Amino acid sequence: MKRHLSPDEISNWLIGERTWEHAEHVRECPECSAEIEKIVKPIELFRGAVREWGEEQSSALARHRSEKTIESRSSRAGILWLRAAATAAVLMILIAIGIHGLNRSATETAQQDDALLSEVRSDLSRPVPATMVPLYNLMAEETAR
Amino acid sequence: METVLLPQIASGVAQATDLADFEAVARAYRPGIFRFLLASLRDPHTAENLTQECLLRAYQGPREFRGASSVKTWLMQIAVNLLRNHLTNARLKFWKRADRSQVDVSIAQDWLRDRHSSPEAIALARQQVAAVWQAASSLSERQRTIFLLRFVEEMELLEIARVTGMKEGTVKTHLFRALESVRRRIEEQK
Repeated sequence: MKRHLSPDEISNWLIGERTWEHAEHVRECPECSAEIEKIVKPIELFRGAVREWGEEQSSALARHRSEKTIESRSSRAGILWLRAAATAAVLMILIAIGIHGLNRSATETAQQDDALLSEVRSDLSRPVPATMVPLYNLMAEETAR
Repeated sequence: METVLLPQIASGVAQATDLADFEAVARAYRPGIFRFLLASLRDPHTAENLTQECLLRAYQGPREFRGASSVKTWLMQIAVNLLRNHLTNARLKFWKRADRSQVDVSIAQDWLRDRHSSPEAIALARQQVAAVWQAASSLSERQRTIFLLRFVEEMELLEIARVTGMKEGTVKTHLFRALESVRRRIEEQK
Protein backbone atom coordinates (compact mmCIF):
# COMPACT_ATOMS: atom_id res chain seq x y z
CA MET A 1 0.00 0.00 0.00
CA LYS A 2 1.65 3.20 -1.19
CA ARG A 3 -0.81 5.97 -0.26
CA HIS A 4 -1.07 7.32 3.28
CA LEU A 5 -3.90 6.34 5.57
CA SER A 6 -7.01 8.51 5.37
CA PRO A 7 -8.42 10.09 8.59
CA ASP A 8 -11.14 7.40 8.66
CA GLU A 9 -8.55 4.66 8.28
CA ILE A 10 -6.54 6.21 11.10
CA SER A 11 -9.67 6.33 13.25
CA ASN A 12 -10.35 2.70 12.39
CA TRP A 13 -6.82 1.88 13.44
CA LEU A 14 -7.28 3.75 16.72
CA ILE A 15 -10.50 2.01 17.63
CA GLY A 16 -8.83 -1.32 17.05
CA GLU A 17 -10.06 -2.24 13.59
CA ARG A 18 -6.80 -2.95 11.78
CA THR A 19 -6.25 -4.73 8.54
CA TRP A 20 -3.04 -6.53 7.74
CA GLU A 21 -2.48 -4.08 4.86
CA HIS A 22 -2.77 -1.03 7.13
CA ALA A 23 -0.55 -2.59 9.76
CA GLU A 24 2.11 -3.18 7.13
CA HIS A 25 1.83 0.40 5.90
CA VAL A 26 2.03 1.94 9.39
CA ARG A 27 5.13 -0.16 10.09
CA GLU A 28 6.85 1.18 7.02
CA CYS A 29 5.51 4.74 6.82
CA PRO A 30 7.00 7.16 9.39
CA GLU A 31 4.43 9.85 8.53
CA CYS A 32 1.39 7.66 9.16
CA SER A 33 2.97 6.15 12.22
CA ALA A 34 3.68 9.68 13.57
CA GLU A 35 0.11 10.72 12.75
CA ILE A 36 -1.23 7.79 14.78
CA GLU A 37 1.22 8.37 17.61
CA LYS A 38 0.03 12.00 17.82
CA ILE A 39 -3.37 10.76 19.04
CA VAL A 40 -2.39 7.49 20.69
CA LYS A 41 0.06 9.17 23.07
CA PRO A 42 -2.37 11.73 24.58
CA ILE A 43 -5.04 9.05 24.89
CA GLU A 44 -2.59 6.76 26.70
CA LEU A 45 -1.65 9.62 29.02
CA PHE A 46 -5.33 10.36 29.57
CA ARG A 47 -6.01 6.69 30.39
CA GLY A 48 -3.11 6.63 32.84
CA ALA A 49 -4.22 9.88 34.46
CA VAL A 50 -7.82 8.69 34.83
CA ARG A 51 -6.69 5.36 36.31
CA GLU A 52 -4.38 7.12 38.71
CA TRP A 53 -7.10 9.56 39.65
CA GLY A 54 -9.54 6.69 40.14
CA GLU A 55 -7.18 4.84 42.47
CA GLU A 56 -6.38 7.99 44.38
CA GLN A 57 -10.01 8.92 44.85
CA SER A 58 -10.92 5.36 45.76
CA SER A 59 -8.25 5.27 48.48
CA ALA A 60 -9.26 8.73 49.67
CA LEU A 61 -12.87 7.59 49.99
CA ALA A 62 -11.80 4.41 51.80
CA ARG A 63 -9.73 6.53 54.22
CA HIS A 64 -12.67 8.88 54.70
CA ARG A 65 -14.96 5.91 55.42
CA SER A 66 -12.60 4.40 57.96
CA GLU A 67 -12.09 7.79 59.65
CA LYS A 68 -15.85 8.19 59.83
CA THR A 69 -16.17 4.73 61.35
CA ILE A 70 -13.53 5.50 63.99
CA GLU A 71 -15.14 8.88 64.63
CA SER A 72 -18.57 7.34 65.00
CA ARG A 73 -17.17 4.58 67.24
CA SER A 74 -15.41 7.11 69.45
CA SER A 75 -18.48 9.34 69.53
CA ARG A 76 -20.58 6.31 70.44
CA ALA A 77 -18.05 5.46 73.16
CA GLY A 78 -18.18 9.10 74.28
CA ILE A 79 -21.96 8.96 74.50
CA LEU A 80 -21.74 5.75 76.52
CA TRP A 81 -19.25 7.38 78.87
CA LEU A 82 -21.49 10.39 79.24
CA ARG A 83 -24.47 8.18 79.98
CA ALA A 84 -22.49 6.20 82.53
CA ALA A 85 -21.23 9.40 84.15
CA ALA A 86 -24.73 10.89 84.26
CA THR A 87 -26.14 7.67 85.77
CA ALA A 88 -23.38 7.65 88.39
CA ALA A 89 -24.02 11.31 89.22
CA VAL A 90 -27.76 10.71 89.60
CA LEU A 91 -27.10 7.68 91.81
CA MET A 92 -24.71 9.68 93.99
CA ILE A 93 -27.25 12.47 94.36
CA LEU A 94 -29.96 9.97 95.31
CA ILE A 95 -27.69 8.30 97.84
CA ALA A 96 -26.71 11.68 99.28
CA ILE A 97 -30.37 12.68 99.57
CA GLY A 98 -31.13 9.35 101.24
CA ILE A 99 -28.32 9.68 103.79
CA HIS A 100 -29.27 13.29 104.48
CA GLY A 101 -32.89 12.23 104.96
CA LEU A 102 -31.88 9.48 107.39
CA ASN A 103 -29.63 11.85 109.29
CA ARG A 104 -32.35 14.46 109.49
CA SER A 105 -34.97 12.06 110.83
CA ALA A 106 -32.52 10.74 113.44
CA THR A 107 -31.74 14.28 114.56
CA GLU A 108 -35.43 15.20 114.72
CA THR A 109 -36.20 12.09 116.82
CA ALA A 110 -33.35 12.92 119.20
CA GLN A 111 -34.60 16.50 119.53
CA GLN A 112 -38.16 15.31 120.22
CA ASP A 113 -36.85 12.89 122.83
CA ASP A 114 -34.85 15.66 124.46
CA ALA A 115 -37.87 17.97 124.55
CA LEU A 116 -40.02 15.26 126.15
CA LEU A 117 -37.37 14.50 128.73
CA SER A 118 -36.91 18.14 129.65
CA GLU A 119 -40.71 18.48 129.96
CA VAL A 120 -40.79 15.46 132.29
CA ARG A 121 -37.86 16.85 134.22
CA SER A 122 -39.51 20.24 134.67
CA ASP A 123 -42.78 18.55 135.80
CA LEU A 124 -40.88 16.44 138.34
CA SER A 125 -38.96 19.42 139.65
CA ARG A 126 -42.18 21.37 140.50
CA PRO A 127 -43.13 21.38 144.24
CA VAL A 128 -46.84 20.80 143.44
CA PRO A 129 -48.66 19.40 140.38
CA ALA A 130 -49.44 21.95 137.68
CA THR A 131 -53.20 22.13 138.51
CA MET A 132 -52.41 23.16 142.10
CA VAL A 133 -49.91 25.88 141.22
CA PRO A 134 -52.40 28.85 141.64
CA LEU A 135 -53.44 27.61 145.10
CA TYR A 136 -49.84 27.01 146.00
CA ASN A 137 -48.95 30.54 144.91
CA LEU A 138 -51.84 32.03 147.01
CA MET A 139 -50.68 30.08 150.06
CA ALA A 140 -47.17 31.26 149.56
CA GLU A 141 -48.37 34.93 149.48
CA GLU A 142 -50.42 34.41 152.68
CA THR A 143 -47.42 32.95 154.49
CA ALA A 144 -45.24 35.82 153.43
CA ARG A 145 -47.64 38.30 154.96
CA MET B 1 -8.36 -7.39 32.99
CA GLU B 2 -9.44 -10.94 32.43
CA THR B 3 -13.15 -11.40 32.80
CA VAL B 4 -14.58 -13.89 35.24
CA LEU B 5 -17.76 -15.80 34.56
CA LEU B 6 -19.44 -17.17 37.64
CA PRO B 7 -21.34 -20.40 36.87
CA GLN B 8 -24.01 -19.70 39.47
CA ILE B 9 -24.52 -16.18 38.11
CA ALA B 10 -24.48 -17.44 34.54
CA SER B 11 -27.11 -20.02 35.37
CA GLY B 12 -29.12 -17.34 37.14
CA VAL B 13 -29.36 -19.19 40.43
CA ALA B 14 -27.06 -17.07 42.56
CA GLN B 15 -28.29 -17.02 46.15
CA ALA B 16 -27.17 -15.46 49.38
CA THR B 17 -24.82 -18.39 49.87
CA ASP B 18 -22.89 -17.21 46.84
CA LEU B 19 -21.96 -14.04 48.69
CA ALA B 20 -18.31 -15.02 48.88
CA ASP B 21 -18.21 -15.51 45.10
CA PHE B 22 -19.97 -12.24 44.57
CA GLU B 23 -17.51 -10.48 46.84
CA ALA B 24 -14.72 -11.79 44.63
CA VAL B 25 -16.51 -10.44 41.56
CA ALA B 26 -17.07 -7.10 43.28
CA ARG B 27 -13.39 -6.89 44.26
CA ALA B 28 -12.30 -7.63 40.71
CA TYR B 29 -14.61 -5.22 38.88
CA ARG B 30 -15.21 -2.48 41.43
CA PRO B 31 -12.16 -0.36 40.43
CA GLY B 32 -13.17 -0.34 36.76
CA ILE B 33 -16.78 0.58 37.52
CA PHE B 34 -15.73 3.34 39.91
CA ARG B 35 -13.15 4.67 37.46
CA PHE B 36 -15.66 4.79 34.61
CA LEU B 37 -18.26 6.57 36.75
CA LEU B 38 -15.66 8.94 38.18
CA ALA B 39 -14.41 9.90 34.73
CA SER B 40 -17.99 10.31 33.54
CA LEU B 41 -19.24 12.36 36.48
CA ARG B 42 -16.04 13.87 37.87
CA ASP B 43 -17.53 13.63 41.32
CA PRO B 44 -15.94 10.98 43.57
CA HIS B 45 -18.83 10.76 46.03
CA THR B 46 -21.51 10.30 43.38
CA ALA B 47 -19.26 7.85 41.54
CA GLU B 48 -18.81 5.89 44.78
CA ASN B 49 -22.55 5.86 45.49
CA LEU B 50 -23.39 4.72 41.98
CA THR B 51 -20.67 2.02 42.16
CA GLN B 52 -22.26 0.70 45.35
CA GLU B 53 -25.68 0.86 43.73
CA CYS B 54 -24.39 -0.97 40.67
CA LEU B 55 -22.93 -3.81 42.74
CA LEU B 56 -26.05 -4.00 44.88
CA ARG B 57 -28.26 -4.28 41.82
CA ALA B 58 -25.99 -6.92 40.35
CA TYR B 59 -26.17 -8.90 43.60
CA GLN B 60 -29.93 -8.56 43.86
CA GLY B 61 -30.62 -9.38 40.24
CA PRO B 62 -28.31 -12.17 39.08
CA ARG B 63 -31.19 -13.64 37.09
CA GLU B 64 -30.90 -10.73 34.68
CA PHE B 65 -27.50 -12.05 33.74
CA ARG B 66 -27.97 -14.40 30.82
CA GLY B 67 -24.39 -15.48 30.43
CA ALA B 68 -24.31 -14.21 26.86
CA SER B 69 -21.67 -11.67 27.79
CA SER B 70 -18.92 -11.38 30.37
CA VAL B 71 -19.57 -10.31 33.94
CA LYS B 72 -17.70 -7.08 33.20
CA THR B 73 -20.05 -6.26 30.32
CA TRP B 74 -23.05 -7.05 32.50
CA LEU B 75 -21.80 -4.84 35.35
CA MET B 76 -20.87 -2.03 32.99
CA GLN B 77 -24.34 -2.23 31.49
CA ILE B 78 -25.83 -1.65 34.94
CA ALA B 79 -23.34 1.18 35.55
CA VAL B 80 -24.19 2.89 32.24
CA ASN B 81 -27.92 2.68 33.01
CA LEU B 82 -27.37 4.12 36.48
CA LEU B 83 -25.25 6.89 35.00
CA ARG B 84 -27.95 7.72 32.46
CA ASN B 85 -30.62 7.85 35.15
CA HIS B 86 -28.40 9.96 37.34
CA LEU B 87 -27.65 12.44 34.57
CA THR B 88 -31.29 12.65 33.66
CA ASN B 89 -32.20 13.42 37.24
CA ALA B 90 -29.19 15.46 38.29
CA ARG B 91 -29.56 19.17 38.32
CA LEU B 92 -25.85 19.72 38.06
CA LYS B 93 -24.14 18.26 35.08
CA PHE B 94 -20.55 18.23 36.16
CA TRP B 95 -19.08 17.95 32.70
CA LYS B 96 -20.65 21.24 31.77
CA ARG B 97 -18.61 23.02 34.41
CA ALA B 98 -15.51 24.13 32.60
CA ASP B 99 -13.51 24.86 35.75
CA ARG B 100 -13.27 21.19 36.62
CA SER B 101 -10.97 20.23 33.79
CA GLN B 102 -8.07 22.09 35.37
CA VAL B 103 -8.60 20.34 38.68
CA ASP B 104 -8.38 16.95 37.06
CA VAL B 105 -5.12 17.70 35.32
CA SER B 106 -3.55 18.94 38.53
CA ILE B 107 -4.70 15.77 40.30
CA ALA B 108 -2.84 13.65 37.78
CA GLN B 109 0.23 15.89 37.93
CA ASP B 110 2.19 13.70 40.35
CA TRP B 111 1.53 10.70 38.18
CA LEU B 112 2.74 12.63 35.12
CA ARG B 113 5.82 13.81 37.03
CA ASP B 114 6.73 10.23 37.89
CA ARG B 115 6.72 9.27 34.24
CA HIS B 116 8.42 12.24 32.66
CA SER B 117 11.84 13.41 33.64
CA SER B 118 12.13 16.93 32.25
CA PRO B 119 9.85 19.85 33.12
CA GLU B 120 9.21 20.36 29.39
CA ALA B 121 8.05 16.76 28.99
CA ILE B 122 5.78 17.12 32.04
CA ALA B 123 4.32 20.34 30.65
CA LEU B 124 3.70 18.70 27.28
CA ALA B 125 2.13 15.63 28.89
CA ARG B 126 -0.11 17.86 30.99
CA GLN B 127 -1.19 19.72 27.89
CA GLN B 128 -2.00 16.51 26.11
CA VAL B 129 -4.03 15.14 29.03
CA ALA B 130 -5.87 18.46 29.28
CA ALA B 131 -6.64 18.37 25.55
CA VAL B 132 -8.24 14.93 25.87
CA TRP B 133 -10.17 15.97 29.00
CA GLN B 134 -11.48 19.00 27.16
CA ALA B 135 -12.32 16.99 24.08
CA ALA B 136 -14.17 14.46 26.24
CA SER B 137 -16.04 17.23 28.04
CA SER B 138 -17.23 18.64 24.73
CA LEU B 139 -18.76 15.31 23.67
CA SER B 140 -22.38 14.36 24.14
CA GLU B 141 -23.06 12.10 27.13
CA ARG B 142 -23.48 9.10 24.87
CA GLN B 143 -20.28 9.76 22.95
CA ARG B 144 -18.33 10.34 26.14
CA THR B 145 -19.59 7.08 27.62
CA ILE B 146 -18.48 5.20 24.52
CA PHE B 147 -15.17 7.02 24.41
CA LEU B 148 -14.41 6.20 28.07
CA LEU B 149 -15.45 2.56 27.68
CA ARG B 150 -13.18 2.18 24.67
CA PHE B 151 -10.14 4.20 25.62
CA VAL B 152 -10.07 4.04 29.42
CA GLU B 153 -11.70 0.67 30.07
CA GLU B 154 -10.33 -0.74 26.81
CA MET B 155 -13.51 -2.60 25.96
CA GLU B 156 -14.11 -4.11 22.53
CA LEU B 157 -16.67 -2.54 20.18
CA LEU B 158 -19.03 -5.48 20.53
CA GLU B 159 -18.87 -5.29 24.33
CA ILE B 160 -19.59 -1.55 24.20
CA ALA B 161 -22.54 -2.23 21.89
CA ARG B 162 -23.93 -4.68 24.46
CA VAL B 163 -23.32 -2.32 27.37
CA THR B 164 -24.98 0.65 25.69
CA GLY B 165 -27.63 -1.25 23.79
CA MET B 166 -26.50 0.25 20.48
CA LYS B 167 -25.53 -1.36 17.23
CA GLU B 168 -21.84 -1.90 16.67
CA GLY B 169 -21.94 0.48 13.69
CA THR B 170 -23.45 3.23 15.83
CA VAL B 171 -20.75 2.73 18.47
CA LYS B 172 -18.15 3.04 15.75
CA THR B 173 -19.69 6.26 14.42
CA HIS B 174 -19.68 7.78 17.92
CA LEU B 175 -16.07 6.77 18.41
CA PHE B 176 -15.07 8.33 15.10
CA ARG B 177 -16.67 11.62 16.18
CA ALA B 178 -15.03 11.45 19.58
CA LEU B 179 -11.61 10.83 18.01
CA GLU B 180 -12.16 13.68 15.60
CA SER B 181 -12.83 15.97 18.55
CA VAL B 182 -9.68 14.75 20.35
CA ARG B 183 -7.62 15.25 17.21
CA ARG B 184 -8.96 18.79 16.81
CA ARG B 185 -8.14 19.69 20.42
CA ILE B 186 -4.63 18.35 20.11
CA GLU B 187 -4.10 20.31 16.90
CA GLU B 188 -5.42 23.49 18.56
CA GLN B 189 -2.88 23.19 21.32
CA LYS B 190 0.05 23.19 18.95
